[in-house]
Amino acid sequence: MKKLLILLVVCTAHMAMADVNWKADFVMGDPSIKSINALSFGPEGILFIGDSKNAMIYAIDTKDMASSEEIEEINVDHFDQLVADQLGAKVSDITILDMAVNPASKHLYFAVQHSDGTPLLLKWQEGGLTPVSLQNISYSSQMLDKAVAEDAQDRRGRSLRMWAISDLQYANGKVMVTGLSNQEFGSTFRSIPFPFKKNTDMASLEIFHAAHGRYETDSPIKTFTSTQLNGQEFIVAGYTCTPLVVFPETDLQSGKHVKGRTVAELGNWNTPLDMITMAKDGKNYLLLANSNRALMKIDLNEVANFSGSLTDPVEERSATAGVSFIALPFVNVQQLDKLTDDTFVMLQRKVDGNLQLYTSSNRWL
Amino acid sequence: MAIRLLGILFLLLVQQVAAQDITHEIVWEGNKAKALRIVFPNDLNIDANQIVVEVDGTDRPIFGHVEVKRDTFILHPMVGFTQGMEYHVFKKKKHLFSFVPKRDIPGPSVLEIFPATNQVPANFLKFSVHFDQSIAEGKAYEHISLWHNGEQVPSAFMEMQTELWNADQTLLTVWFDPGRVKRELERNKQLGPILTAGETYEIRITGIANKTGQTMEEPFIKTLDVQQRDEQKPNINKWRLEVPDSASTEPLIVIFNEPLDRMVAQNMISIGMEGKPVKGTAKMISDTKLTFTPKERWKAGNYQLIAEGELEDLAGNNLSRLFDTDLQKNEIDNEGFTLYTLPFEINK
Repeated sequence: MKKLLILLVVCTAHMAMADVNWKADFVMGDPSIKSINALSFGPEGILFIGDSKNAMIYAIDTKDMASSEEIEEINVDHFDQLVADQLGAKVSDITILDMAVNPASKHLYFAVQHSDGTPLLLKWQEGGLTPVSLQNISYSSQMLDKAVAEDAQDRRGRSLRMWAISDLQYANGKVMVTGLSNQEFGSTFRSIPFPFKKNTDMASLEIFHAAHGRYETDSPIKTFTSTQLNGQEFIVAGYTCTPLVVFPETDLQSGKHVKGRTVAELGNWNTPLDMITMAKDGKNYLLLANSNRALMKIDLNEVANFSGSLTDPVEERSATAGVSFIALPFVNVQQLDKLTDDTFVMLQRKVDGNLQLYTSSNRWL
Repeated sequence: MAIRLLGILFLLLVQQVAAQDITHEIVWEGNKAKALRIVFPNDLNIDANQIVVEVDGTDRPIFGHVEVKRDTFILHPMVGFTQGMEYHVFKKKKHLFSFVPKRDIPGPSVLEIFPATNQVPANFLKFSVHFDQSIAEGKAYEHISLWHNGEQVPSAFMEMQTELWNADQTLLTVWFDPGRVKRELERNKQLGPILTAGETYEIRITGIANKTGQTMEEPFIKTLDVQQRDEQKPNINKWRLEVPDSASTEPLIVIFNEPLDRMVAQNMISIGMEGKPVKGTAKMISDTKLTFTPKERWKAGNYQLIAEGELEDLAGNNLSRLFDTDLQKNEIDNEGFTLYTLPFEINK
C-alpha cells in the first residue's frame, strides 16, 4: 500500500512536471554571457549555464533534443590539445571548467575558458567538436545576487563583489548553485525554482560544518549532487575542506543555518572535484572524483543507513572515517558525468600528461 | 598536346599572379589580434569553405566566424590569434601564406597586495593582488606560492577552479586553505596550521602572464611577519571617527583599531541619518582607514555609522561571530547577521 502511495505521488509529480511549458518565458537574443563556470542539463535540451562574472544563471535552449539511447563509445587522447588546435590557441591557454552530458541526445558539452577570459561552449558529437553559438539564442536568465544593485560599486558602476560559482545542478524543477565570493567568507547555496520568475524567492542559506563538535565555521561547497535516500530527496555535498556531508532538501529554506551531517572524511591533501550518482542491479552509487585521490565509489545505501555524524565529538578517527568507499583505478579524474545509469564519461589526466576523454564500462559499478 | 601544355602553363601563371596579388592584414583591437583580413583582387566570388586557417601541423581549421564581402575574406577566430604562434592559410588545400601575430607589450607587474601590512595573524585568511594590467585567467595558482625558510609551503591556498578576478582581471582574491585554518578539521590536525606565530613567510608571485601572453619580468615578494591568532571579533565601539564640518563635502574618516578586509569593509559600511541612507562613497584608503565622501554637503544633525555583521578582519572574524566558533565556550550566534551602529553628530 505504501509503495502504491509513493508510486501515485511520483506519478502525480511527473504529470505536474509534464504540464510545465519550460520555455514559455524564453526570449531570442544575445545574453552576453561573460563566463561559463558550470553546466547542467534540464528538461527538453535546456542547458543551464552558471556565469560567475555576470553573477547570473542562464537557461539556454540547445535544441539538441533528438532522443538517443545509443551511446557513442568515446576514446580521445590529448583532448585539451584538440580543443587548443581547434581554437588556434596554445594548450596552456585552455582550461576546461565543466562537462555535461545532454541526457536526451547523449552529446557532451564542454565549458572552456581561454586565458584571455573568453568563454566558449563546445559540443562533442559523432567524433568531433563543434562550437555552440551563444549569440542569437533562445534563453531565460536569473540574477544570482538580488542585492547586486545595492552593493557598493566601483566608478564604472560594477559590483565590487566577485563570484566564483563552484557547482550547479538542475533537479526536480530547481536549479541549485553553490559558490564563494571575494567578500565575507562563507558558502552560498541557492535553490532557484525553474522556470525562472521575476522576484523569485531564492532560498539562500548558510552551510556550516562543525569539526568534531567543537569549532563551527562556514563551509564552502565544491561539488554536490541531489539524490534520494530512504525515499527522501537529499543533497550530497563535498566541501572544499574534504568532508562529505548530506542534508535533506527540505532544509533548503531561505535564510536558514544548515548544518550538513558529515558522513565521510576523504583524506587530506585532497579536494572533491565532481560527483555523480549511478545505478546498477537496483543499487545506487555515488562516484566521486578527487584532486588527490582515486575515483571513489560509495554505496548510497550505506550513506542512507549511516546514522551517525562525524560532527559529533568523537575519539580520534582515521583520516578517512565514516562510510566506506572503494577506490576505482582512475586517478586525476577532472570531469565526470553520467551517460546512462551504468555508464559514465570522464576526462582524466594520465601519468604521462595525456588528458584523455573516454567512456567507462559498467563493470566498475 | 602543345595547346594543352600551353593551357596548363597559362593556368599556373594566372594562379601565381593571383597568389601574388593577395594581400592580408591582422586586425588588432588594442593589443589583441582579433581577426584576419584577406583580399583576393581577382576573385569576386569567394567560396569561404575553400579557405582554411590552421596552426602548424594540426590539419584542423580553427573555429571562427567568417565574413565575405566581394573580394574580401575576414576570419574572426573564437578566441583572438595567439601572439608568437604561426598560422597557415590555405585555399583549396594550397598554401597561400603564413603569419605570426606579434606586438611588443610589456609584461605585467604587481602594484600592491591588500592588506598592505606585513603583520598578519596566524589565522590570516585571505589577500588580494592588484596588477597593473589585465591578467590571463585559469593558471593563477601556478604562479602564487608561500615560502618559509627557503622552502615552499605545500597546500597553502584554496585552489579554486574559478579564480576570483574582478571584472577587468586586475585584482585577484586568494584564500588560504580554510581546511587548515579551521581548528580541529582533519586537514588542520594532520597537516597543521599554515602559518605559525613568530615566524616569517613570503608570498611570491612569479611569471604570471597578461591576457596576451607576456609574463612578469620581476617576481613580487610580500613578507608576512606572523603574529598570534586573532580570536577577537571586530568591535565597532573601538573605532574612532573624524567628523567633518557641516555644509562641507569633506569625507568622514573612520579609523579602525585593527586592519580590516578592504573589499568587505568598503562594501559593508554605510551612513544613515534619521533612518535614511546618506548617499556617498565609502573607500578604504589603508588597512585601518576608511573615508566616506557624501554626494551632497553634510547637514548638521545626528548620524549613524552602519556596519553589516559580515564585516571581517584579516582572520575572517566578523562583527557577529568568530571564523571558527568554539561551541564548548557557547559563543555561537546563530541568529543571523544584524547591523551594528556607531552614532555621531555633525555640529552647525
